[in-house]
Amino acid sequence: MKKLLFFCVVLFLFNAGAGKSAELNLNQITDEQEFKQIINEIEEHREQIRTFSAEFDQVKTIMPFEETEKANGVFFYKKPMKVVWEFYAPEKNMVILKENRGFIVTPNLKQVQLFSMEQNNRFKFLLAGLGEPLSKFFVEFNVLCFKGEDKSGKFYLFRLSPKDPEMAQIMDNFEVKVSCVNMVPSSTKLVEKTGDITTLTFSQIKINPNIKESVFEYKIPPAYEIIDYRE
Amino acid sequence: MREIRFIFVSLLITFFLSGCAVVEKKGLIGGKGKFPDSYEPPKDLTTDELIKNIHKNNTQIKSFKADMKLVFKNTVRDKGALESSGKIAVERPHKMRLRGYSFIGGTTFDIASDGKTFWVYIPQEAKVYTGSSRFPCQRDLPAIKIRPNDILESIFFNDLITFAREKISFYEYIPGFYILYIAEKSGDNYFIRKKVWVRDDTYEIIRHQTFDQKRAIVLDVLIHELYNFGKDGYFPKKLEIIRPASHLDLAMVFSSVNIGVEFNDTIFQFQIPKNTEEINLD
Repeated sequence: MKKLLFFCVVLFLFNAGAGKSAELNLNQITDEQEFKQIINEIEEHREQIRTFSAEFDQVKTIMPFEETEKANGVFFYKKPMKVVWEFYAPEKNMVILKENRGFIVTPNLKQVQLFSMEQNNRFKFLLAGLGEPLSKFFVEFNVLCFKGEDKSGKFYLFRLSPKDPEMAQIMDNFEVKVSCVNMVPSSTKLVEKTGDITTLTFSQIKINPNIKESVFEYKIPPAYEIIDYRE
Repeated sequence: MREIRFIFVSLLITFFLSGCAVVEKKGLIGGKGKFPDSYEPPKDLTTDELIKNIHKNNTQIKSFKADMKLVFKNTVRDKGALESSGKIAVERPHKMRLRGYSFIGGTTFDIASDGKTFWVYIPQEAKVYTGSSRFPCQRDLPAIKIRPNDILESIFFNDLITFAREKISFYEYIPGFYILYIAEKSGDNYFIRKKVWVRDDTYEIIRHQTFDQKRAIVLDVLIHELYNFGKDGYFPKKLEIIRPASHLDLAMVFSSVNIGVEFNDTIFQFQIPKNTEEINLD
């Protein structure tokens, strides 16, 4: 872990810019000690999280059309890796992650897609700072860290840009916003190479609530088609 | 009630006439039943008049923007359907932008056509397929198995019904529908290139098939429901595009349709991302 953190700090320093972001209310953190301290603090809080629940709002901006698509639902997490991502609107869909297995449930098609987490790593991004330490992503991403404040309070913002050329063909950058109040992720933002932006914001956050095991259990209805991508 | 009747009749046609049953103007040959003699076309039109009526009722919508739901199915396996949401912008005759995305995650595909060139970009593959917007490309698109022209042709098929000298057209009539045939010259002979089902009251196209010179169906498009925009004409609510050679059945459902939209041309242009492989299909 110490080795990983050292590596992250080196990367961080390599990427540190002039110290002031062009974006409003964002100040880039360029001090090595401060960066290290923030990462340690977030990780200490993350290790205390056994369960997590929240409501979420997703806004997707489709750039050539300059239009947005909104979605919402609920999110449940239980250590080490049980996740339910239930969309209520505009359509009822669900993503379940259990250890290394993933299920995408599409009631509209009466279909369940099965996959392994290794095959589909996009969900790992969405769990950055919760199911996965933020520092784990610093190996494959260049990182910039900012301190900022908005109507919800003070926050840290981590902007991750992929180093892997294949990943860089798809993704421009990925941001994780961590609230200074509870030190857990409050929103994520994915900026694609196509220009599309997907922002997911948590609200009604509960840390370590009592979540029944049954929340993470899903019995595939007999009429549903199963597409197994693990084969 | 009229809608239900229309859908029911459409289904009947889909199931029973897709094999090109032998039909003559006043009745069926070789079957047990026979249409009454009263089943005459509402108007005794020449083929040119029929084509003019099709154009008159289908050329009012010059551009549109809409939300879409796309369901891709494999016609052989009949399993493994894939669903994608999308947004589409079209300016007749050849400009289009179609962006597909999943409910979680990012862009699944991006199709653009500026009237001269088309691009089909698949981010996951880091590949972009290009070709001419105006002519059918010579190679299949292995990634999505459908050509941008297919989509435009499916929505605004009447743009392809022309009075060119190298083509001949004729029609037959069955209750409720004209069936228009467009034949093209190949060497000394003609072959049926297009077969088009047209409602006898509105002249709206509800199905069209495209054949190759070996009489195989290249493209089969069914229009299941329509939006009625009054004097501006009709617009498909649900389309089904079948490409037998690619084993593809693509259902497209349009919502939030805005017609007569004036677009900035940048929406139809595509910038190829860095390090993306470009594959020309012409």
